[in-house]
Amino acid sequence: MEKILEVIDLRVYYDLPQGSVKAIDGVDLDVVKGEILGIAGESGSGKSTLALTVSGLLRPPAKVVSGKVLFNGVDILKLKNDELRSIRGSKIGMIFQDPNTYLNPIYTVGFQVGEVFEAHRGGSLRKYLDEVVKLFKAVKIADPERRVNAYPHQMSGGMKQRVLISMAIAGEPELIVADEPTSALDVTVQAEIVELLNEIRDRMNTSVIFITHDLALLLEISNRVAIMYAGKLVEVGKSSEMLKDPLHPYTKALLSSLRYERKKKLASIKGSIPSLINPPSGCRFHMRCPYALPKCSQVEPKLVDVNGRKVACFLVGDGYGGSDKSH
Amino acid sequence: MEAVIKAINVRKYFPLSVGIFSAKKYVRAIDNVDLELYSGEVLALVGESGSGKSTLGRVIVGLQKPDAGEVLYRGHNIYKLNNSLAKLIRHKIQAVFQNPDSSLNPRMQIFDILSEALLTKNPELSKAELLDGVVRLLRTVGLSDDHVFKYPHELSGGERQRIAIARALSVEPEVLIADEIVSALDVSVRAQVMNVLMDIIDKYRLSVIFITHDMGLVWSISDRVAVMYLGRIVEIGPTEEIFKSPLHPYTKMLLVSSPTASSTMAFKDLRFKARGEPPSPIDPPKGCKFVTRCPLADERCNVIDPQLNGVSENHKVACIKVNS
Repeated sequence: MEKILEVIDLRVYYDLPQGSVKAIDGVDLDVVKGEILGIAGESGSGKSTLALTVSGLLRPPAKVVSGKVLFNGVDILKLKNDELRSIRGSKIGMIFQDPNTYLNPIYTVGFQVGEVFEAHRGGSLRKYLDEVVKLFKAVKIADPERRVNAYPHQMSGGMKQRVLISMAIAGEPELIVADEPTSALDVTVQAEIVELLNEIRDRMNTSVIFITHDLALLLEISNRVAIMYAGKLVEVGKSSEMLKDPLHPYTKALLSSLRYERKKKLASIKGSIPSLINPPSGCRFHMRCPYALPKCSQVEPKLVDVNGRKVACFLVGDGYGGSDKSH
Repeated sequence: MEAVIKAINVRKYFPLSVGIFSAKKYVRAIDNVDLELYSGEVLALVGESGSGKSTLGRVIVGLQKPDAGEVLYRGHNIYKLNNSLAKLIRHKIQAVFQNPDSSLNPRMQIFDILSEALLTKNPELSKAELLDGVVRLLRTVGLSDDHVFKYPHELSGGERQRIAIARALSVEPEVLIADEIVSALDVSVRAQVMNVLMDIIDKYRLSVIFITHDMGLVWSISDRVAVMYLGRIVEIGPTEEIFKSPLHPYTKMLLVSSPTASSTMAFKDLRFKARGEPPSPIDPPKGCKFVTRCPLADERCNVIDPQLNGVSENHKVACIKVNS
């Protein structure tokens, strides 16, 4: 299968006065053409930093310490700003959580979507009006001819998110990065937005990176899921397999906290996410892991293949978490 | 069963400021709602944003005076009390909200936050008794003694929410309104706070109104569910009945749209896939409020405003397709 995006040994740190926050600390990940890859993690796991890096939107104090992000073979971390701009918005589209932050309240939504065409193809805005109407139809905004003249405050949250999606697909991108695109929406609206993203993927064969803290949603909609914890990937695999048989203790714990039973307590994970300024040694989950071995606090498990899945845990597979020569 | 709280025909409209020459407009947050909370039960209040569920919670806790109707606590109208009774009853009904950061004073230590609450119940308490009470409250919500002299910012989101719960408990309430109390928390922490809540419900025999949009939590904690849509209750009944055989098309839509990793919530009739968004509560449809999104609607639904009708003793639904 054709890889459209390859993330290789990526490390992104935020340099703060208190120390450097290791938001992404050695992540390897591929995205295949036409797939929806889900990335799940709690707040502070580094998933949004990953989205920003892949979209070429990192700003100081964030800095890339090492690694590559190959988009169709080109390392986007090495591109100059104008080269990056020609990819971002046309080859890579982005959708974020809060549409209000990304829409300008004093311009009509039609104008703002038209700007995307203007930026990438030049010419005057006016000639793109028909295309904006077409896009609004594609994202199922009712009454598109009228809606292009609406201001953001005249639209509901779900509608605004559709406007953002129409912007993201305006350049017929090969990759859409969606960071918590439905987290601020009601479940019913969420279901519709997810369906829309699915349709776009089918129609344009676009790959989608879908980032959310909602693992239940992710397992339902994505082909593959990557679980992040404290700046690292702990498990990557097919959604259907992971739902049936999670391997990493963190994935297991997350899934069991989602299995609701009548009038029974929820399975909880003790403790909370560690500081990323001084991350724990060894496996970053060892302090909260019910199965931790003595070596888990000393040696860091690598992400290795286990029956077509990738897992970083000493308890899984051959029991050594990959090449563990230091022990 | 004995009702602790009875909301009768409660209405709350919020006026909108519009031009001085145009007719006054209102957001119809709650539109003639009846609700009973039985002693010792957990009643889940669900619905989309704008359905009025939070406003109803605020009306019941005494924070938002309704325009019409009354809220009774064991027969006493909570908005028409004399001073001595008012304080007593205010202690009996407590609330915890979504964001602990906006309900905890950042300049006060946990000790001060909790002892302030303890003192309203019993102003005679000595410093030693207060410390004792604060530690006891912290333990009840699963926090250790070393949190006593910390400030809210030194705690994690989950811990802060537990402080908010502890404060609500400090006045020994009988009724707790929990409004989206775990919505802002991460999954792993959410489970901890939910478990604390389940513990204290048992321990203090609380009657709880649990407001949420998460159907999974509804399944795990509640005895009954009330589904709200545009300021009305459209279906109310025992949790298991609502999940296994929902009657109102909107309840079905909510269940179908909720992603879940549980097999217990098996209702998946795809005819009820989500479509559209709720109409504006300023100018709702004349007949059934759900008519614009309902896959079953016909002409009659545009005209008839369905009322809650019992399909069994404790299961009621407002839909002419079900009642007829």
